[in-house]
Amino acid sequence: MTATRSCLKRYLESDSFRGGLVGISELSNFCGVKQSNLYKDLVELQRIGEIQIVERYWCPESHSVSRPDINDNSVFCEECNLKYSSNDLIIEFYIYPLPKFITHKH
Amino acid sequence: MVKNGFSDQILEYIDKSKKIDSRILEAHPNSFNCLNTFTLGDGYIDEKIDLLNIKNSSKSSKKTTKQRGNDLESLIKKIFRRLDLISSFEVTGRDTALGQIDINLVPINNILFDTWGMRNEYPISIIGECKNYTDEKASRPEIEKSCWRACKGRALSFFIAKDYTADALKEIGYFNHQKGAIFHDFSGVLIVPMTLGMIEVIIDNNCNFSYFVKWSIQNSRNMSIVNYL
Repeated sequence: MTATRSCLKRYLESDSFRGGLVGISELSNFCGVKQSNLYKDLVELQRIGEIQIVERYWCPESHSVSRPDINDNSVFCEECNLKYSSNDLIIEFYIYPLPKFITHKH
Repeated sequence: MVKNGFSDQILEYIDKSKKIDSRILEAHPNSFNCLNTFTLGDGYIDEKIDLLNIKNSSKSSKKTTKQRGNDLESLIKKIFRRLDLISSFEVTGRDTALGQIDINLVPINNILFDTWGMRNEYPISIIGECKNYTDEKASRPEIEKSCWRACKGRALSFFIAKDYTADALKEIGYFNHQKGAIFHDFSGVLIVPMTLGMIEVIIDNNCNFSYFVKWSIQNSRNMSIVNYL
């Protein structure tokens, strides 16, 4: 987790960071770590309140859709005009560094 | 030994799934599926040694049932450890709160279940039981115990044996179909039967084990997996 924290700091200070959310794929390439292994550490950083992992949902046709209701197993895509099972959705993960993390930088 | 075209079926399934998931990862690189959450690395070198040990031990009468069970546990432990989204892995081999279970897997969160097509049906735990008998098939009383443990731990339960009696498979089918009538909170609870022969096909072909797990889960829901056991 320490290596991931330092790498995320380096990334945020680098020219690669252009503000906003950080895609875990970009961070994984930057750090040279397998995405799933990086994600494990990010979950831990989120648990201690340093970052927030943000999810974005896409229908199988790559249209952005809202987060499915936890009790509803489907979500409606306005562009496709179709209802999809949550199992068909693609979830992408991004990182949002929280103030606690930014403080660590200095 | 595997039955009824399992090899063709699983290899085709994995090949097709890999193509689909690869396209998804191109368009959505920040996502996860079986393709980017499994580490094959050395190509199952250690597992191949374990498989050989298991084959040799079944020919040797010197090994006890417990030793043969340990050989299978060792193999299963190694192959499940290749799943990246597991946070801890315990080989219990002893009495736990759930009874005598062999393997207890703790995923980092529910994303592992998402990659296996189980979104919104999340179990509380993942357990595995290994039965490595030389002559005997896994029988109904053992499956009944497994069903109880799955209920008690609200678990996704993998049962790995060389073979199953017809009654044992019937019991798994009954449980997987009727669990909603048996107990209230059954989300993600499922008994997934696998055979050593199936795992051998995955190892011999250097296949992504996570896809095999996904296939097994899908085919255990309606018990079409029976055709290959």
